[in-house]
Order: sequence, then structure tokens, then C-alpha cells
Amino acid sequence: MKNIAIIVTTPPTSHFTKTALEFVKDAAMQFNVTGVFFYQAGVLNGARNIDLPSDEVNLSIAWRNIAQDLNISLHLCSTAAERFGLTCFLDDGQPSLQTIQQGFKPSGLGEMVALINSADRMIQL
Amino acid sequence: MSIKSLAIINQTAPFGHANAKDALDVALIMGSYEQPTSLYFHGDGVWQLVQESQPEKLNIKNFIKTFDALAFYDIEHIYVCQDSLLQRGLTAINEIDGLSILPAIEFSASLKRHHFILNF
Repeated sequence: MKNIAIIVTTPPTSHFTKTALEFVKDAAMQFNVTGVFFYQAGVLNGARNIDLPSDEVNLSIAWRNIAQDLNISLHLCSTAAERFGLTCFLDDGQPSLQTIQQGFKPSGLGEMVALINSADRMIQL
Repeated sequence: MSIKSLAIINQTAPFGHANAKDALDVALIMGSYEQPTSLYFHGDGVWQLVQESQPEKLNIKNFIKTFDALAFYDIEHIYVCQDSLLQRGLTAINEIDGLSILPAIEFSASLKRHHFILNF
């Protein structure tokens, strides 16, 4: 089965991110999605305190559910996350549950290198 | 883990958006992990190569100087789209080791030689 890596650089307010989410769901049925790496404004997808009207899709929660249901790792670029005001690390290196959505792991760009290297295909949205 | 080659395309101007700096950060990390990485400058991305830009006047850190360090990170293949330069009337650009100016058709043919492409 082919390995697919996904790079998300758009925030949850972007419709491209909704497309990325749908793409990941469909790709996971046919391929091994090795991970989703959130870079640039994409890190805002990992913000826990996004509050939306109940009739709109909360992408932060949708990503959390995907990570649980499909067992896909969600890597949050920690440098970018801090630039956007998401303090990632607690003293023990775990993501802060006050700011970071469950299922997202703070990662360095080195994780992106590893994802790219293990992938047969890479998709950037 | 087999080695894959990556092309990073820069197509936004340097100081209106964080894209250029973010692309450079990815390039340097890829280089430090010894991954074959090439840089491409296309469209408004060629403005990143303008000589003697002074981003400090906009309170922006001068990350453009870091282009000089690319060879140190073994990033030795840098391609610039000649058509993009001509369309913008740019005749003089920064001299960076390993930089080649290619007509659009050769530029795109060269891109095809990479496994992966990231766009900024």
C-alpha cells in the first residue's frame, strides 16, 4: 500500500483546509496516510479554543476525530505554533491541553523531512 | 529510508508575506538532514533575489542574507525562471552559488526531475 504524506499550510478558516480534511478521509481508505504535517498558518488547526456556531464544522475537532478514528498522526510545527501564539510544550514535553487540541503532536521540521522521506506521494494544501 | 529529492518553489514576493522565510526554513532543515533539495524562483518569487533589498526599513528581519549560506547547507541547485525576471524588468539579481537562470520550458522540465514539490 502506498504511503501518502499530507502538508497543511492553510488555517481552519480556509476552505482549502476543509478540502484537506476530506482528502485525508478518502485517502485513508486506499492508502496508508503516514501523517499530516501542519505548517505556516496551518498550525491554527491545532488550536483547542476555537469556538464556532453549532451549525458550522469545527475543523480542530474534526482533525482530532480523524486522528482517533483513522489512527493518523497530526504533527504541529512547534516553531510555527509558537509564532501563532499556541504554546505547545509543558515541562514534560507534552502538548498543553489548554491550547492544543487533543491528537496534535508538537513536532519539528525534522519530522516533515522524515514524513517526506517515507512517502510515495506528498500532497500540499 | 530511501532518499527522495525535493523541489521548493518560491512564487511570492519576499516581504509581503511570511512564505519566503518559511520556505527558506524548510530548505535549510532539508539541507541539514542531507536531503537533496533544489530551490525554484518563479513569478513574484523572483523579487526575493533583488540586490540590496532593505527589509529592515519595514521592521522585517533580513533573512535574505541567509541565501548566501545555502551552499553551506549543500543546497547547490537554485533555478530562476528567466521569463519571470523579464516580465518584471529585473536585470540584476543577487549572485548565489549554484544559481541558474532558465527559460520557462527548461525551468519546468527541471522541476519534473524531483520526487516531491512544496509550494510557497
